[in-house]
Amino acid sequence: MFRRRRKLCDFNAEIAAHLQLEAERLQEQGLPEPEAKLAARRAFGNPTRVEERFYESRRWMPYDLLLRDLQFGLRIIAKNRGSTAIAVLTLALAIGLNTAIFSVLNAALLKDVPARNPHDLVMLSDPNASMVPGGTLKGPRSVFGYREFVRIRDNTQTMSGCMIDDAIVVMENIASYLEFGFGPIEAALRSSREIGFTVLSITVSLTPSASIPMLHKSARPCPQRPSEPTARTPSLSTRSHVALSVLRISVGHVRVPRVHRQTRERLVQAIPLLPSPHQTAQSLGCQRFHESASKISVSGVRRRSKANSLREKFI
Amino acid sequence: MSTREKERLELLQGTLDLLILRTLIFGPRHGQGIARAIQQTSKDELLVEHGALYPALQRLEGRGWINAEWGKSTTNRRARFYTLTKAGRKQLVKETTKWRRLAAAIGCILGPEAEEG
Repeated sequence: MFRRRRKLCDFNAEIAAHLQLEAERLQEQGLPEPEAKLAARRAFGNPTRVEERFYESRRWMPYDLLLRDLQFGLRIIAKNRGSTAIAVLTLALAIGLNTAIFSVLNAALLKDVPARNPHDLVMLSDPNASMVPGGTLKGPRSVFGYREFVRIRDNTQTMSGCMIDDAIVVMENIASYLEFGFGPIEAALRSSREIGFTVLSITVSLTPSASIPMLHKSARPCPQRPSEPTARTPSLSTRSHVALSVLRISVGHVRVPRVHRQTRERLVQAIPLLPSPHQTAQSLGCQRFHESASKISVSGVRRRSKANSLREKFI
Repeated sequence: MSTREKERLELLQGTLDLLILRTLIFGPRHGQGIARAIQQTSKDELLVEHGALYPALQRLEGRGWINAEWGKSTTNRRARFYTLTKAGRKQLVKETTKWRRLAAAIGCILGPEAEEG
């Protein structure tokens, strides 16, 4: 509405003119000059308050106050360099720490497993196998060597893809090389050479980040098996070590019973031909122990060293 | 100088604008002139703090009801003179009608003047 912004000095000049005129009028009425000036001021009220009202009437005051607060803040910052540095450092550290914690939590708790349909993930394993050859630590284990894995991966019609665990594969690999007639040392060397680089690189890059989601993912949907993730998480990091050093040395001396080669071939061929992971699991006599995580243990597939005859039954 | 300052009536909220507009109907005046005119015309009954006049004048100017211009007073002093605009004249009529109705209504409720006491 203002045609032009009126300046405060213009307003002040008007007030001064008013006081002058009023004092002159009072002098005309017979008052001496000093008293007339005082009386004019008294009749006027508080000039500062009037100036303030003029100032406030032409501004959006919250903004004005904010601006002044900012100015004050900047002045204080410029004055106390030391405490400013400490405050900035504290803020930087806090923000950095929060970002770090959030990115970990985001990966571990908020985001899902990086797969298109995490609920369709299926784990083919042997629940009766032990984690260490001849050991007592029981847990679901992979039952395939590297070449079986490649075969399933390339020929499967029921699964969209196939991933494989590292250390156990080396062991299975060694076993399968032994069956092909290689000597123990040769088998150990070949099998670890086949996937050694993959094991190393995956372990180095994935173990720290993979362990945390594992802890959560398996623990929540399956409270009756709380020990599994806890046992798995540290084992992930030691597994590559086992795969690349311990197994190579030890398996050469462990006597691995030969398995009928045709049986293995038939097993590997049978799995990709079954219509769905669920049916695969059913037909192989699986038990589904994770309702929401959809991990399926193929319990019917036994370790070849244990029960050859059992396997014949399922195929 | 009046000694009756404490006995004067304080202005009701919103009436100062009306008084200023009414005072300006006789032609341009400066702030001090308006203050004096209000005091004299009300027979010194109203207590108008002169300072309160200026924010009000600023407000009325902002609404386009009065115009302002620097000029010379009768005593040859520089002063800011205010003139009523067309919109201001309209507003004065509106406000006057409103005030008359309000005063009449309150008068009706209060009834005829009682004995002085």
